[in-house]
Parts: sequence; C-alpha cells; structure tokens
Amino acid sequence: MSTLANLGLGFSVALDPTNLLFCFVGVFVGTFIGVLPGLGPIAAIALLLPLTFKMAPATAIIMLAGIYYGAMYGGSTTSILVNIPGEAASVVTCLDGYQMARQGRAGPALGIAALGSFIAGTFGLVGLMFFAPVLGGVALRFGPPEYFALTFLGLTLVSYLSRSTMLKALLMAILGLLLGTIGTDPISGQERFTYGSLTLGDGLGLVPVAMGVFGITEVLDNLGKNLRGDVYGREIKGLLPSRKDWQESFWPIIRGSIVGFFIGLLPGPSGAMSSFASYAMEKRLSRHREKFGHGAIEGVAGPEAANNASTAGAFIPLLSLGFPSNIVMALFVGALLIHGVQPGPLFMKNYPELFWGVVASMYVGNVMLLVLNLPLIGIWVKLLKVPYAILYPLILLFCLIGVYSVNNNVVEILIMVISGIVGLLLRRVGFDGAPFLLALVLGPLMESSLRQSLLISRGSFTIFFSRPVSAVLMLLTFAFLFTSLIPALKTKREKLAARMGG
Amino acid sequence: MKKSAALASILLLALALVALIESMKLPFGSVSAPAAGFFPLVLAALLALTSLLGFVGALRGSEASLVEEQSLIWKKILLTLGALLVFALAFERVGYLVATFLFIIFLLRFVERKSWGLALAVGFAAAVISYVIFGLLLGTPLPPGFLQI
Repeated sequence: MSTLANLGLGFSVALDPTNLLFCFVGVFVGTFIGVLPGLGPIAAIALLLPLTFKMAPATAIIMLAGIYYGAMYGGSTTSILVNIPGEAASVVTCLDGYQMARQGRAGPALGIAALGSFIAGTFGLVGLMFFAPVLGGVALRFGPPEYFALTFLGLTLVSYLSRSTMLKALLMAILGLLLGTIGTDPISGQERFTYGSLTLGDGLGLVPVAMGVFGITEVLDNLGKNLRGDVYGREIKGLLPSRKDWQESFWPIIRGSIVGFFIGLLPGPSGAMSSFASYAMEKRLSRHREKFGHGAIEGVAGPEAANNASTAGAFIPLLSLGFPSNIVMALFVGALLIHGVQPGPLFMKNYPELFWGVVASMYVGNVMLLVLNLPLIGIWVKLLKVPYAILYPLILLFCLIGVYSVNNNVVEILIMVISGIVGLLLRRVGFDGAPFLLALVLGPLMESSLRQSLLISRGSFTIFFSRPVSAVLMLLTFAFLFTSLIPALKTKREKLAARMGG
Repeated sequence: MKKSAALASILLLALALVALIESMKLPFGSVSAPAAGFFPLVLAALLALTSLLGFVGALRGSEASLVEEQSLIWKKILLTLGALLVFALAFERVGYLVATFLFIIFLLRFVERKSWGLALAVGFAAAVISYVIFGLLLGTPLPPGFLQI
C-alpha cells in the first residue's frame, strides 16, 4: 500500500505544470538531437545540462530523464528510416526496421517501436517500484569489495561485447582507467598528471571526452567516407500497426520488457545487451525464422521494448547504489551532485519526492513520446533528408555549444577535438571507444573501492572472494574473461560482437 | 592496415612507459595501504603488457578481419579539424555569432565546395537561430566578442 502512496506522491511531483513543461522540453529536444546522425543521448544531455543548474532538483532530473528517453527514441527513428543507428542499443533495430521501411512499412515499424517502448516503460516502472526498495536494502550491505567487483564486471562485459577483439577492448578499458586517474586523487587529495592545468585538476571531463569519441569521431568518419544513408523517400502513412502486427508483436514486447529489465540491472552496456538478447531470443522462438533480417516486425518490437525496459532497470543501481552502469547514468550522477543530492543507499529514504517523482515522470515521459512522435514523425523525416554536407556543420556546432556550455571552458573544447581525432585514428585500426569511455566513468569508483578493500583486508586479495556478493560478481567476471580467451569460444564471442557492431 | 595497427600498439606502449615513469614519482604506499601512485602504476604496467601483446598480434596479422577496409578522404577531415581548432581558440575573442557564421561558411564553401550563396545563407541562419535558442531562450552563456551581443 505504501508503494501506491509513494507513487501517488511521485505523480503529484511529475504532473506539476513546471515539471510537465520541462519533461516536454526534454523529450522534444532529446528526440531532435537523437534523430541527427552521430548524436545521441550524451550530446542531448550536454546541450541542456546547464539549463538544469538553476532548476529544482526534481525538475532537473525529470528533464534529463526525458532527454534520455527522447534521444533513444530518436535513435530508433534513424535506424528504421536511414539504417544509421544513433547508438549501440539501436543497432539491432536497423536489421529489420530498415527492411520494413524499404518494403513500405516504415509507419508500422515506427509505430510499434513507440508502442513497444511505451509498454516496456510501463513494465519497467512497475519493476522499478518493486525492485528498487529490495535492492536498496541489499545496497546497505554493499561495501568496497562489492563495488570493486561490480566495476570489474561492468568493464569485462563491455569488453566482451565490444566489436573489436577482446585484447583490444581490454586495452582500451585499461587506457580509460589510466586516463581516469588524471586529476585529484579521491583519497589523499594529491594531484596526479595535471601538470599545472586547472581544467585537468578536476579530471578529464566526461562530457568533452564522450562528445569527442562519439560525436566528433562519428562526424569525421562519415564525412571522410562521403557517406549518405538512403532516406526512406515515400510518404509515411498509417503509423498504427495492424491487428496482425499486434498479434505478432505482443509476446515479443512482453518478453523483451522482462529480459530488458533484468539485463538493465547489470553493470555495463545494458541497452545494447538487452536489445541483442531480445532479438536473438525472438529469432529462436519464431516459427518463421527466415523472415528475420527481411522485415520481421518482431525484430523491431522485441529489441525496442527490451532497450526501453533496460533503461528503467539501469536506474536501480544508479539510485540505490549510486552506481552508474553507463555514461548517461554517470551524467545523471553529476547532475544530482550539483544539487547536493548523493545517489546511494539512503537516496530513497532521504529524497522520496525526488525518487518517486522521477519514477512517475519516466512514465509521463513515455506517454509524451507516444503522443509527440506520432504527429512529428514527418518533421524528423524532413530533417533526415537534409544533405549530410549541410547537416554535419550543424552537428559539430551542437557539439561545440554543448561542451562549452557545461563549464564555459575553452580547454574542454580542445579536449573534445583531440578526443575526436584520437578516437578516429584508434577506430581505424580496430579499437572501440565504448570500453574506454565506461572505464573513464568507472575508474574513480574502481580505484577508491580497490584501495579501501585492500586497507580493510590488510593487503589480501581474498577479501573479494570471501564475501558472498562480491565472490559471485568476481566469478562471473572471470568466467567472461576466461571464456573469451579459449579459442573455440573466442570465435563465438567474435561472431556475437561482430553482429552487435553491425 | 597491418602496419598502422602495429604502429598504434607501439604508440600505446610508449604512452604506457611514460605513464609508468610518471606514476613512479607518486607515492606508491604498500599493498596493504595503497597511496596515490598505486592504481596508476598497476594500470600503466597492464597497458604496457596489453599493447605489447597487441603489437605481436598486429605483426601476425591475425586480427585484420575486424579492421575497417574503406579508405577515408583525409583532406576533408584535416580541414574540418583545423576549423574546429581555430573555432576553439578564437571564438571567445571574436564572439559567438561571428565565429559560428565563419565556421559554417568555411565548412560549406571550402570543405564541401557548396555555392557561396548557400554557404552564406546557412551560416547566417545557423548563427542567428542557435544564438536565439541557446543564448536567449536557454540562457547558455555565449561569448559576446567585439559585437558586444
């Protein structure tokens, strides 16, 4: 009963006119940025982050959540219409979504993506309501060894699923951790590798590096290739899926929601993992397997639902443990800290209106996406028809404003540009940016939890295996590490990773 | 590609060695009480090891299949990078509106070889519209420059 009362409190926060307005702004701008090729949730959040500094904490987080959802939905739109995934999580949507568009069924594909996301969002909300308190209880027993094991598992998973080889992915993760030590040591306060730079004193900023490695690298790569995706040309009509579409998509959406939610609880690239898992599952369960890859609606409905549900799932480690399982979640931590709110075991207890308000607003955001995107799809299509030669200067401009607006610091623009060119060169020789960025995000937490663990155990590494939760996480980590090194299983992983990378 | 992959590994190895030397200057502490230099030192050593393995792998050419084959038009990339760097270094002095106007025109006219008319029109529209949205509506502090707006 108290959960319902809490949810009532949440909706009273989420339906407050100011919050509703900024939820709308977030969803709208998020979708707009997400539709632009090469820009995803990170760029969208960076552009609007400064606006949140002056807001009430709940309003700020509600808008950021809206941007996140919107950007993910915008990414699905480009996957379906142009075959360009906005981010890793929507790679799978390209497979059947684009084929559907080519067969003149872009409308139902977009419609089922929106409706599937909506249903999954509802499911995720219910899951969040019931699981967050449970995990909040467990979280109180999380000590440094558990946090270390969690970061280790996250980095191993992102490397395991990287599109490069395991060795190269691990190398990138180590590089990310190493560059993550730049700045002030979290424990002793000593400056490391800053060489007198004030900007570096706070560490290599996440926003400039992420915008560089994702945004700038992507643009440089595309313009160097003269790439032009084939925009689906004909008019889109009939967004609502037919009865037959519904029958085919219903169970994939339900299964996708459940799988996505639980994968979302894991550290690491849960969006991409969940959409891929859902696609593989639907293909296996399907009675007409041969249709997959040729425009099967299940191949859009399931992964889109899973992707959305995993977002709700990923909020649980964020809000209950203060653990960011991806870069967007790390930006949320940053936004909360600016308002003096510390996510972690006490978050739900100390800030009930914030926690439940955000939960409820995710639901409101999903409704808005549904209402907003059905009529606006035409505008997004027009946006995609703008030639890339005109679009990319604008994308670069958004990156520049986004990075500058966070701290008004020119040095951060330089960091972004340098990250962009280094990212491009590394990509050319088969290195992947994803493990690097997650390592940069998790590095400080990994270091402080490792050092605290060793202090507690007086230098013995058995501490990671003698406590049950940490032992399970460590065993999982080593299972992934070793199976990726055994030759027979290695090729299987590479096939999986290659398919995930498109 | 084999060569550039090997070169990348060598550069990463060099970076690892520099990091190794630099982290030795920081206090290491001990394993039972690790200090500021502990984590970077371990990571630098691991980076050295993995980049060495990567170098060996690149020489054997065993990973070539995962590397992109399509070649890039580097001239456009370098021009764009140059424009970004000049923008970053100049725009606080020149001001947001003028810098953005010139930045877009440069990309459209000299990198993409579009007509002057199109470049001027897009440059003007992009500068003004983004200024209104970000500078005025969203309150992003954009440098005024000599125009003083």
